[in-house]
Amino acid sequence: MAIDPVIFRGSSPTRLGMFRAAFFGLAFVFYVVLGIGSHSAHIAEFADTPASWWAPMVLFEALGITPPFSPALLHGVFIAWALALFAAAVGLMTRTSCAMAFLLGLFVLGMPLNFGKLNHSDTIPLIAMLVFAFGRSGDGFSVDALLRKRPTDVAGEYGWPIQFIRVVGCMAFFLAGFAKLYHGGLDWITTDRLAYLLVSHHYSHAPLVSWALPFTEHAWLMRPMAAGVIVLELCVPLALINRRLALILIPAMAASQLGFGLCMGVWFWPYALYYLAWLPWQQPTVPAPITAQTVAPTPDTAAVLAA
Amino acid sequence: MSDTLLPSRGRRRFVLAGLGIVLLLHVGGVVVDKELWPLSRYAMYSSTHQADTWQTVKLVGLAGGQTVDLPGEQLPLPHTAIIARLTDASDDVRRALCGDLLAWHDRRRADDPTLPALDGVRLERFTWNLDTTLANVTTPDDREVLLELRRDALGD
Repeated sequence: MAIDPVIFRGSSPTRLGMFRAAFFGLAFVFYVVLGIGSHSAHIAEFADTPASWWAPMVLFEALGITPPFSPALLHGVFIAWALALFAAAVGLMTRTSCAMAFLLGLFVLGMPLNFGKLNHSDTIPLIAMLVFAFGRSGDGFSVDALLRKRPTDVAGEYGWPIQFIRVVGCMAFFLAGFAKLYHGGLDWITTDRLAYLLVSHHYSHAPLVSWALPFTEHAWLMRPMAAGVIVLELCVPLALINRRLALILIPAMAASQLGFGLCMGVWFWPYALYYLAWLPWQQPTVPAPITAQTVAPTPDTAAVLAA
Repeated sequence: MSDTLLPSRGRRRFVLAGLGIVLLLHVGGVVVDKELWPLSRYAMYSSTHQADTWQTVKLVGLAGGQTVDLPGEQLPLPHTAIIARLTDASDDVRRALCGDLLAWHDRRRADDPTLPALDGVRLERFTWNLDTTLANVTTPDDREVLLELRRDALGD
């Protein structure tokens, strides 16, 4: 299958485990310790929110979740989520803790979004938590590995979670670029839309710097920049199939988001979790098959080698 | 990649099916033009709206004849919902929403007596003429009262 080389790239239990530890460790710091990027750390303050303010998203409506909520329940769910994030970071009962981090995260990160304003920044980290739950992310660099787990010798089993998360993020960037063309067409490029965004956010978001403002009066500069934003977003998926392009596109995308944070005050903190996936967790070249001398074969491997 | 490094065919199908479902659900959100969180269309900033002014609508509290920022600004999301509904709602709904807001504020004041006692709430539209020198950034060029509801007029 042509897609196999793209998705099932080789890695190792330790590398995937280190990615898992870095991902959930940073998620713990962001969401629990610092409380940035979402309202999760303040979730208990939503306890007595009147039902008249509730504007449920599809998921919460389907589940029949409505306020008011018990403060103790909200606090308890948040604590349980924090514990799940920590357990996933250290690799304790890894599959279960990753799954719990996803399921509880759906509530903790999603509940504050049911009041009329959506935030998309946490969607990729949430999906990544589910991916870690389905992958063998606890086979290395984990408490589980110290206690009992035996890794498999199938390198692609450790590479696909990394690549899966990369694909989901690239798709998000692509859809962001696509949406600009779909909803705005070329007007997004050929009008002063980007200049308007850069200036108006100084009135709504109080960004840290005003470096971009002098440039906003020059259409010959802003319009190519607007085109560049869309082209970059549409081209990011190419990073999945070409390592050299990845070395350009992914840092460019991160720099773009950093620029929007500095110049517009719109910070995409949870995307830092996504960019972790682009660190060199995967083996840079096609790995040599693991031999029976280095890893005890599983029954499946023994059958393949015998054949 | 050598087949010995690939997961089993069944496992590969499982992973690719999962990936396909995630991608299709995202595309489905685009097609039906609906947010299906935790999936998304990622359509933020995709409109081409632009103007020479910046407008925002805020809820402010009324206390002792003055307007005060509501402490809920630290948790702006509930205000977002109220503001969105207040602008088009009937008078009865407006009274109910504002009554809920005052009761919500009163509960917070019971825990934090430093918060002001509110006589009512006001919905205001603030307008700034965009200026790249930001000379007017702290003072809106226009401030329009859209709605004012006082506690004594809300009834029970």
